[in-house]
Amino acid sequence: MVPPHYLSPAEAGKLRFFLIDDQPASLQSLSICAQNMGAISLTKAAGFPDAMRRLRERSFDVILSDYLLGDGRSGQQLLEELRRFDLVPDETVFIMVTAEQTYEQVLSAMELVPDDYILKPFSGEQLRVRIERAILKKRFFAEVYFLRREKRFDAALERLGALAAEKSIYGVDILRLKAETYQVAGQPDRARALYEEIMSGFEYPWAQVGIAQSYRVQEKYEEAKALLDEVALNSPNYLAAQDLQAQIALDLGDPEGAAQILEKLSARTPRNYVRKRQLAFAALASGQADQALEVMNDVLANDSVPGAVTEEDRQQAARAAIAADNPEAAGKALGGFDPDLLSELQPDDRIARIAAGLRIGAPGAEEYFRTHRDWVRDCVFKPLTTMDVVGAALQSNDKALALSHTERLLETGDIRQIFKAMHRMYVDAGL
Amino acid sequence: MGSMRMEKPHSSVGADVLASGIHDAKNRLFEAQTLLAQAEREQGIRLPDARLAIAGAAGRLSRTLVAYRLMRDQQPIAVMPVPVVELVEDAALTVGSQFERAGITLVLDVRFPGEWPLDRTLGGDVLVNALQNACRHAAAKVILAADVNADGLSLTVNDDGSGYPDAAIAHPSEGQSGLGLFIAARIAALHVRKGRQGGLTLGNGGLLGGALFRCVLP
Repeated sequence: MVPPHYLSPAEAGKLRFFLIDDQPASLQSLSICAQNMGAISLTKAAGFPDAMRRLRERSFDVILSDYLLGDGRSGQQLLEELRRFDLVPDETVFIMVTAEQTYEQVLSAMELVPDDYILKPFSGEQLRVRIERAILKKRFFAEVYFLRREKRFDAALERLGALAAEKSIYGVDILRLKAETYQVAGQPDRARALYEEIMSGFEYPWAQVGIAQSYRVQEKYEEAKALLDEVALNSPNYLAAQDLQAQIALDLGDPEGAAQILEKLSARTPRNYVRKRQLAFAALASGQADQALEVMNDVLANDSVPGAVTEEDRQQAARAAIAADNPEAAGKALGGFDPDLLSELQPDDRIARIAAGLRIGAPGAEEYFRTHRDWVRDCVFKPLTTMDVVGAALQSNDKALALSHTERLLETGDIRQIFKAMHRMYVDAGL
Repeated sequence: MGSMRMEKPHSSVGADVLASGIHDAKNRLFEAQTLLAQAEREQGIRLPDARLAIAGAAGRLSRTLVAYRLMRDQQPIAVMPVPVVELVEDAALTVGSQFERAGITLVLDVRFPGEWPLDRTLGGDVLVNALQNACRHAAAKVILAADVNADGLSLTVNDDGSGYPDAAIAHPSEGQSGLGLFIAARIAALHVRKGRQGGLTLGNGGLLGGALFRCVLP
């Protein structure tokens, strides 16, 4: 009657557990429960920051996190941050613990799902079963995870084909992994065929989004939009569908539409700073500079995981501040303008700082821009930094330089997402 | 009907308040359960009645919330591929102590080796409720069987008791086990696939001759 033990007591005893809960009594209960199932190595964290710190220091075999971590943080955010900074390998088991079953239903609609959920109260035996199943599944797919990490997609697909022949209980997972692998390997038709095979069993929202992604890659935007509208209507909690809707709106040169979608989503996930960066981009591209600045300031101040805030984020905040006619905020975001430090930066970072410095009237910036004009003219920059160059060139009445970079952007087709913002720059310059 | 529409936001708040209270209560029950397990381990004793009381209270709390949401059409459903053998094993594990205490043998008979699209929590609740009923009425044995046929995934619970009264078979949602069956029927009906809806049937007979509960998920 009791499910079999898949791990020997010796194996179970070797597992390194990491337990996270902000409620001391609950954390203690988790700990006792893990000990009851034979765990020996136990590390505990009392909340989100503590957990992130420890996970940077070492790795674990099993992570048990409560869904509610206090201070507006959740186990779901923890999982997302761990994946974002690549702090847990695919091999680590992440199990979400919660006392209320609706969380499972909400969470299962998320793009990034834990390996399992367990509802309180549970016994040591129930925990053992869940953990062992998750470990077995990890072992089943171990080679596929490895090959995907090595970007050996053909080998990963071959291995998945062999696993499919084993008649396991993971049929849908195998199809999904194959579809995802074809997607990253740049074969959207094959990915779509597999998602359609999954859909013939059941119309999972993630499979519909998978199909929409393959359409987007092939620029079949109408097909993608029709599918995503359906998912947004039927599975409003599956936010990945709406993220993709926003992405497609940007692709189609509709940053206002993208900003509207992302604003609503961000209100539901206020601590998701990856999404907030997208919102800031869409807001800036659609001329909502004040909003873009506010969102970027939030990112700079609150995306507190070490290494999360990058030079690009500071530039983006400065860009928004300049567009919002707030040079002081731009200077603050950049931490000042020091020409001596510029030579250490990559070309895009260097020109972004020079252009920003010029536009806020930082001493030395205009001269630097003028004396490095040939270098600026000949470099090929990313779309956003190209926009910075155009803005700086227009401000210093160098129309030829502005036009040469604008034309280059037009030729590559990269201009679509930021066309309106560029157009506004020319209008503002009286052109 | 107009007034019902007006009440929608309020009933949603009601569900939130209820959910939050149940959430706290289940957290406390988890503490009680683990402290109990620790005491059992340290003292080398077994306190099955205390375990059952805690598990029973937690089960009732969950079921109350699900019933509240179902009555207001607010019960969300999250369908995912669930290995049928795991669904059955989990249900058996949840009711294990109760069967042991009652001296009833539970036999699992899973004939479908793969996954099925269903809501694992809600589907598991249906099975646990049916098994708990069967345990109360069985003489010595209960069979939990799972198989796939033309209608979908068929989950049956059969016992060797005296069977359902005729009235229960005619009106499953009334009578002593009415709430559990009402919930089970509504959960089954929430499972819709390719235009077909899940459902329950109650009968008597089967391999063991007693009550025969069948839930079909398309």
